[in-house]
Amino acid sequence: MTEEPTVTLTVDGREVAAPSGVSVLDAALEAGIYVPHLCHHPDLPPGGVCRLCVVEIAGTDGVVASCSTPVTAGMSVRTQSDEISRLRRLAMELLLVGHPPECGTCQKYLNCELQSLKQYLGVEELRVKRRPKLLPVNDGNPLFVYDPNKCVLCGRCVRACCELREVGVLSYQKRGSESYIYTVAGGPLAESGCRFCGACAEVCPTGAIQDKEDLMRDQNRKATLVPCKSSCPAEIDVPRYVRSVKEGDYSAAVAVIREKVPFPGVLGYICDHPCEDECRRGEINQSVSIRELKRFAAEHDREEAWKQRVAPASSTDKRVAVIGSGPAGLTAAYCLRLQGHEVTVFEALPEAGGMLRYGVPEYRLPRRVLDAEIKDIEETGVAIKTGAWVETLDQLFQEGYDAVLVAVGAHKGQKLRIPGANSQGALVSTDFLRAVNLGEQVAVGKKVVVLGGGNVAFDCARVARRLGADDVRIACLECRAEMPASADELEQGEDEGITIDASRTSTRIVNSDGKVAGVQLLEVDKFYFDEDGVPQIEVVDGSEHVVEADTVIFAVGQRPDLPQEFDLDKTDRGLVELDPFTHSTSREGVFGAGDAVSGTASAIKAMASGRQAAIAVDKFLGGSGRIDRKLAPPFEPTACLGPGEGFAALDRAPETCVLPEERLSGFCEVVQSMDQEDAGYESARCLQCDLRLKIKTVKFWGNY
Amino acid sequence: MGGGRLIEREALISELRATGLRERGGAGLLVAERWQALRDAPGEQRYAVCNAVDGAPHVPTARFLLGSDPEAVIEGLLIAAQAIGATRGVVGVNAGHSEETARLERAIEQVGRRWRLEAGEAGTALPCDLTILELPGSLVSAEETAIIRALESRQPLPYLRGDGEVRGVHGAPTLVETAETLAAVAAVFREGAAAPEVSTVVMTVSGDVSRQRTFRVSLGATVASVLEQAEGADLGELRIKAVQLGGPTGRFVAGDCLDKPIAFGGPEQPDSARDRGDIAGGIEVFGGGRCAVEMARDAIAYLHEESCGKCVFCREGTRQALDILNDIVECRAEAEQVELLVELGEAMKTGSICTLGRRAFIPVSSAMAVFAEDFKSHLDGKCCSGQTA
Repeated sequence: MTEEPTVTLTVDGREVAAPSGVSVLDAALEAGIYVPHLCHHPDLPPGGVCRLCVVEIAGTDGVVASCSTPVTAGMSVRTQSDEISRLRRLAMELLLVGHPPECGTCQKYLNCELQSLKQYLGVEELRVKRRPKLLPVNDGNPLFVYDPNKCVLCGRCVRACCELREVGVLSYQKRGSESYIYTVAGGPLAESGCRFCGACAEVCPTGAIQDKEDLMRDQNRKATLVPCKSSCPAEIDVPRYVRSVKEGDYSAAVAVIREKVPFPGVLGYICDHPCEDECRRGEINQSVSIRELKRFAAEHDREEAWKQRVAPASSTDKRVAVIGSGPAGLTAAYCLRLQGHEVTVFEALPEAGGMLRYGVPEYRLPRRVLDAEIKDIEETGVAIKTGAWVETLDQLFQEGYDAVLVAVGAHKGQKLRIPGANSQGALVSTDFLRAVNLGEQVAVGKKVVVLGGGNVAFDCARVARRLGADDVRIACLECRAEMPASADELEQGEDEGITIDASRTSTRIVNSDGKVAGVQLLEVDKFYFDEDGVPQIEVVDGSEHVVEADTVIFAVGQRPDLPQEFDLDKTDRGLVELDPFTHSTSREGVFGAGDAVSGTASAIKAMASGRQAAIAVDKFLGGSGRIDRKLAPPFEPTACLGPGEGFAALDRAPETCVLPEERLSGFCEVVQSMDQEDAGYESARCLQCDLRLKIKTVKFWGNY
Repeated sequence: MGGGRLIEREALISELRATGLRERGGAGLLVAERWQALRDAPGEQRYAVCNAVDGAPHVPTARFLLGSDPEAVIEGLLIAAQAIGATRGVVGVNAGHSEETARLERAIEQVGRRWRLEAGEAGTALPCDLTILELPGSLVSAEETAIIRALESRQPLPYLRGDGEVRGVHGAPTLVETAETLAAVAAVFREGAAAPEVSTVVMTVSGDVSRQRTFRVSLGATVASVLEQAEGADLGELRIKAVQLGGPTGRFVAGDCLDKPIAFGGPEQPDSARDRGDIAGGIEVFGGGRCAVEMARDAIAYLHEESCGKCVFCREGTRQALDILNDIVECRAEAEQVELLVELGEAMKTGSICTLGRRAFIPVSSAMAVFAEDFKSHLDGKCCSGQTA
């Protein structure tokens, strides 16, 4: 790389060095000499239209716009004079002619470049005639609100749209003799080829183009603007791996995911994808199918580029015991191993995986995917001992472990305390699913009622269908819209012939000869939690009825199966109690993670919890706690997006499911993988919200 | 046609330099100088663009040239293309001028055929393909930077292009010359330095006249003689209050000044190097009964309408000036408004990225200077109608 030659000039009597080719304005700002400017933005070509940055140059008559005057050697610049002040103030007055005089009610208040400049230039009263525009605020577009009244036509948005992004949607328009910024044809953004990248809102120096207020509730602006990433409990850089998929670099996509967690494939199948719930594309039509893209990437990572960069740090000679090989335990083990610790995972069951193996049915997560990713973890040097029940923690410390992580999950299901709950044929979700996943012969009757409305209830119901039950019903307290199960489960479950009895409370298991014969249900009128968080149920009078059943499965919550001998403090819900700051349990050197700490959550939350625990354990063992890895090759995305005709109308690529009859004949995968074309299409639907964060923030004059 | 295609690039430019031909419709820069800069600029892709857009309907210079000798315009463009090594040639015309566009298409075909025919022996082909680009007929579309934007398939509005900047379309070296300049270039190579196009400019006399006329005027002729020639009558009989010289952003001239010659910039023309001056095509006549304040007001109202809205001093300066002038017309302006008007005018001189904006106050400032009496009586609360300067 060749260095730009440097020139030396004088600004207000101070010698300033600047690369040749830069503007006088940039040279001055870089040297810490503030020159007011509005239409100029560090990421945009100069506009030269606001005239606030005028300066005098020795040997030149009058003033010039410093944003569009290149530096030359020996140039002598004055940034302050009476003439300059007069011109700047006049320009500011003209800019403010149509702008609402009251700032206090604006969302941009105190964060507004225009307001700041107004103060800097001391422009309060206008000599020029105000002409309020009295135009309607346009809040009909997704994501952004446009208030033309606040626009001062600095043109930054147009340059951002047309020159930085090359999307070309915004333009100068004239209606009568008045100028405005609008879409080229004056139509809604979605129909004008907008890519909803947000560059216009990012560079707008006033409150004219703003993010919709209800999308900006969070104080952390950056997090709010890239909600897929910030909503991921494990902080996976979603936009980055979606972009890698778009670029066709599936190995890079997987590496991005692996920078945080060792389960890209598993998550590609079963993540409950909070990212998709927050995806800003959802405001336009439907969210990006992020989980399916992850699955596609994981299934097409031929090079496994991450393996080249994943070498564990040199040995710390510290030993960590992880109890439980579920998503929390294995994620923590992987992270701790990479920090250089010796890690042994103890698993009571015959194989590793925890709930991923003994809870989640195989039709949702093929075991080859889980096996491969566990093998990858083992290849980093993590030792996994299966069939190893840990009796006491003391035993581990005696064996020389320096720290212990309790990640035993929440495997103990529970029954409702209703009459008949102990009848023969009344099962518990976790036991039922574990038995099936262990390959045991599990008999269910022809008529099965599952009590509960979450994903586990669906797992039980759908497994029961596959085991031969004809009539499977799910009865839950919540109304259909409020059921905690994911929409996919409802849809796929119903396709498989499962009946959903929402808004039902069960009062009794009817039995005959000690065997389940039915469930007595009541219709729920209202179900809510009172101020103390206690559930309240109001039933419909006289709605009592009995549903026939020969098997009842309780899927109404799970607790950790925590041996008393561990001697750990527990919460009143029976969970491992942690210090919120150190993630330590009540015993020194013992930490906790996953469902055992949080109660039943999701795989991604368990992994996130494993990461937190790994940080805590690493610090406890004298490490830095910095567990993030750079595994993906560096890639700088281009700022240019190009025209987006039809972009907003691109519908989410539909999932293809195996026909229900075929599904019910076994435990085959229900949802088929995307093909390469769909992956390209779907990843290209991403708004690339993260690009916006690469736009520089303009420093206010107070910061010079 | 002349032998432009047979001459080597350097020789083309030095021959032009020898004639001293200046650009028409611009600030009168030497054509050879501009071309040399373009010739020396690095770049694979290079554009030669003919600006045949008439910004104002009462200054139809391009229309006149395309109507009388479109082939000269095309020849001039091809010579320019040859001289600067252009890979693309474009003619920008007003959308809706369908007759002129059709003439242009025929001229491109004709000239191309002849060029190839004559080149047969010498072994040179056309320097580049020629295409026609239609632009909205407005003052800003006639700005060369707006034409450059249009060639980038962008909104045809002016942008900031530094003095002497050679880069244009997508950053490639881009030469934009008016149709009048290119027709004069063609004439030089047809007939040599003595060609009438070298010593004349196209002028349109419009406004309070018997009929709008466009014709060639010798450089050095006085405004008065041009008016007499157009109307076939003595200046005294024409009862003229003033003329606006050089199109919608031109200055108002009256009285003795009408006896000054029309010429390329001298000390009387303080316009910056790239601004068009008096010779830019138009003489609009204002009859004896007109009020100078209204003339100034109407001029700025038109420019406000035509402003693209980018620069604050053009967009809002013209509007504030218009409001103040309206108040002066209605005899209700305060002294501080007039001060503000003058301050706005001063700021507007340098406050815009294109010629339209920088020149927008010239009609007002010249009217205020030439017809100070009219303004004074309005400010004193008396309408001036009917007075002559």
